Amino acid sequence: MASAIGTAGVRPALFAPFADLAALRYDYPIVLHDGDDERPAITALSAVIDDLLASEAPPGVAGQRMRRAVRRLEGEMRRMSARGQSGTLTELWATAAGSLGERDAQVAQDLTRARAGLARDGLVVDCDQSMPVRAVTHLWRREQRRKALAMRRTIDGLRLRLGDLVRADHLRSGGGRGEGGLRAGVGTSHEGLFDFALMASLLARPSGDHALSDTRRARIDRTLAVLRDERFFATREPYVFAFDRVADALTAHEQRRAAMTELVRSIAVAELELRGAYVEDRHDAYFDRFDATALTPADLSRFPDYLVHCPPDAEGADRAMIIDALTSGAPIKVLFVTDDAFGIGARLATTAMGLGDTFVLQASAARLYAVRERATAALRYRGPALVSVYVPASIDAAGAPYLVAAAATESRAFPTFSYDPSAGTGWGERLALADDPQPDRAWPLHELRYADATLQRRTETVAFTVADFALCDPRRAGDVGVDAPERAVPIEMWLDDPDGGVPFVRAIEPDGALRRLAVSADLVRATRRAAEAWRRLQELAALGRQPVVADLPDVPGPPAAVSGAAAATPVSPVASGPAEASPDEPYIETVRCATCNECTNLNPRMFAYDGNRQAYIKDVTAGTFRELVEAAEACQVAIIHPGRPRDPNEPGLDDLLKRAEAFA
Amino acid sequence: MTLDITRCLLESGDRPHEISDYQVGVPRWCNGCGDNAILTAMQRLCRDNDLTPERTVFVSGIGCSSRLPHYMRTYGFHGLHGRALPIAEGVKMSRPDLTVFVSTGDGDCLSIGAAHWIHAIRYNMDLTVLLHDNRIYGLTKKQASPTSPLGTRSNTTPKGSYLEALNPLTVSLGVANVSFVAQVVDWIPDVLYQVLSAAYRHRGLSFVRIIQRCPEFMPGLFDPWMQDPLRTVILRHPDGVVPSADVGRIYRNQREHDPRDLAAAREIAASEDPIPVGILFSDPDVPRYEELRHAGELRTPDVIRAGLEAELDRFTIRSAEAAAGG
Repeated sequence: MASAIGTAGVRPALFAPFADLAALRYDYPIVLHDGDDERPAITALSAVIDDLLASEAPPGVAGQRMRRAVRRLEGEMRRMSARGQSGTLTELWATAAGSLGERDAQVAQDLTRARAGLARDGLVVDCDQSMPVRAVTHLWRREQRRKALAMRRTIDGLRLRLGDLVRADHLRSGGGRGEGGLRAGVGTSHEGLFDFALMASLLARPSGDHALSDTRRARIDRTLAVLRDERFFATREPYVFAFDRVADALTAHEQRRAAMTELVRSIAVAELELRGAYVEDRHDAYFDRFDATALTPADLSRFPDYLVHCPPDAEGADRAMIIDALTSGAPIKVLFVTDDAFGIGARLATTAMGLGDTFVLQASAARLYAVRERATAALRYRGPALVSVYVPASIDAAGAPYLVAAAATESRAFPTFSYDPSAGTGWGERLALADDPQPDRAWPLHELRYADATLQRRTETVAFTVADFALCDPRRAGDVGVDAPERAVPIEMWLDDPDGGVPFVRAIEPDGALRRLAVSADLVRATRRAAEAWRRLQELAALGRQPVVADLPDVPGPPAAVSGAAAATPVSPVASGPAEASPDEPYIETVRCATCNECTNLNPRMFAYDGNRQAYIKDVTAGTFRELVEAAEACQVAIIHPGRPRDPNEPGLDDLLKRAEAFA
Repeated sequence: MTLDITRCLLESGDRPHEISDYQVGVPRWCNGCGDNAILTAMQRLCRDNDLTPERTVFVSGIGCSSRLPHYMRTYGFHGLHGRALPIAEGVKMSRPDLTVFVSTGDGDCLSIGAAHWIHAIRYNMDLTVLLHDNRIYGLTKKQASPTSPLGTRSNTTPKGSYLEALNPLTVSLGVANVSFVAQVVDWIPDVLYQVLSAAYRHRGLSFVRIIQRCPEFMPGLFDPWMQDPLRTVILRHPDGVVPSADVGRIYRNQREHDPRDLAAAREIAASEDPIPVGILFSDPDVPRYEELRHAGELRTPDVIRAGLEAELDRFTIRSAEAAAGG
């Protein structure tokens, strides 16, 4: 299929095994599922088929037959998709099943049975030029719907409850208590049973004041109007948030900023009003000065994000604005699609990483499905995000964009990485290269098997470099066209030792002949630049993985008095206990007090409750030893200890001392 | 709260609550009554968790225990005899945002309200249930209750009660969907407070049996246990009760018990002497009825319209079928 890539039909030597992609089960085409439930938004066709067979195929021979039929159908659908036939999963299924079923009734029956288990539909998209924008827009739309649903519920709830306040106010007003209002309240079924005029005269003077003051009523009306007329989450005439030009998105954001601020203000006012917590003296001044600077990132993140799709043929000026937009503070998600892995656009993501607070995801179209979770994270991220995707320009009708895009990733010309500022503070935590092949090596290594001139099998371990990838790019046709001389070295070795001769890459002719093609100086420079860029990414991703600072020395723990459960328990202002009291002093085991009021009723000046409503001796001079002993006897939990009498002349002391012995 | 801004504004205007903020009126319980200790523990719990009084509800039935809502400066509902739980369930169903406590007694809950009790445990709604168990009807001046010990002489059983007492713990632990069962005694306030706090934090129905003294009609009933701390066994666990140093010094009889272990909980629940004190069972993963039923779903015009449309669609199809059939 992919026979005519690059100059004169030559292809990278490692492409030799991939003649017909449609015969392979790989990540594409993908299905963009309808619906907003928790299930994945995007699934590979092969995964859909696997799931379907796991649930539908019966055990035994019948199951084996169904699996074979459905796999043939999958191949047919893949071929249709590669030919550019678009449609939903069920449409493609119907077409493919129709052609397969015509030839074999048993196959038709198996496919019909399997089709019954196909629970979810969605658009089938192959790895072509339109795929990145379709897939990312699909994810973005789903994310926006999720946000809108949550906010719609909030706003509707606030409107309903504010409406209840206004309604209750009306019912208490003169109009509500008048004859007409009362009649409307009862309805027509039983209105003959009541004398509304008499009721109105009885209710003419209600108890209490009017429920809402005029200023409060006006504030609620204003808030209701804003909540009703907002267009951020409205189902009628909502704002548009997807744009093709960065400048348009920024202008729209700028124009809507005041409305957004007003909406946040109104939600805050409504929430305070509904809790009865709006204090005019304090909140009026705050809300009078309320502007966009008061919005927190968390509040902003509840609003829709702007999606800008910057296509490969975007004007240079618009592309230049991307960095401006990402630093503007606008909630903007840029999808940048480039078809030139050697161009300046391919380095945009690396540049954006330096901005610090921008979520950056770079992936070729071939890897976009594999990193779909990262793409969702980028769209959910509270801040600007850039998704940079390489998709090859349409080469010719027989081209396989998936293979070329995969080669861009494999060759490090367009490595896959994500930079998530919310993942941590260091580069190592934020930057992830895990989706790249053989990420610890400079170039991925593969085995190349071929037959030499004497028809002997030879195996070589070769690297797949940017120079190999250049064979797939028509723009680079002039850089690898000449056969390399005898004394030439593979480019990956030549980069380590530039004096070794002429660098070459391995290519195959359409007829399968292996050639060694010399690499131009310009392509060598591009290869070296890509190698350096890749090494930088590796280094940045490794930063912070090792502890930079040695483990801190052991810090002494907090003093015993404030550690452990004792510190967690609220400390009562006065707590007397056996530990600190002398046997002569009266005391109460305060923590065991069951608040039974016995002692405090006996002498409230002598016994009192602490902050936890547990008793302590507030003033021992405010009562007699007799009262202490009586309190000890009355105490339900026996925690009062009378100690020794303070007044040796107190009447009846001998008897009291004897009674007090039980509480020593 | 939806917005950070609202939360900040609310917090900036708040002052921390004090116990007195939750107190209203003078409790009309007898001097020395264990209900006072429960009231204090509840007020401490409200203060320490900064519960907003207007978003907190105490529901009760009838009895001494059920006077508790009168003394809490929150919303309250003093209901019918035995019906505290269904009322509380109704409140929770329509207003899941409120914190709902239920105060009930051994007569109210275990006798006339027993059916509601069993099904409330099975429904497992997010309620904190305080069973004030003083083993007697006190408000009506001493009649035997389901938990009165065998031989209790009372106005209804002058020759002594004839039946063994009901054990509310073993019954609760035998009901499907049980999610939290604990037992405390009113005279160890530290543990009482810890268990009530855990019950409040538990999402689901937390059933706390509080063994409570009635100095007026059952004087001295619990003296043997109060005078001998070894006759109380405290169930320790990092996820349950960790007694303070002062309490641990007195109540040395302690036992490690994992509240996830239902079999061990049932064995402990059956023990009457020593009295087990602590969290017997806790499983936060049991589904809650209000969530299963999606209580509190907003009835916006859109939702109502969608519901009507769905109904009308069905009607249309059936009419078409009927027409076709006819």
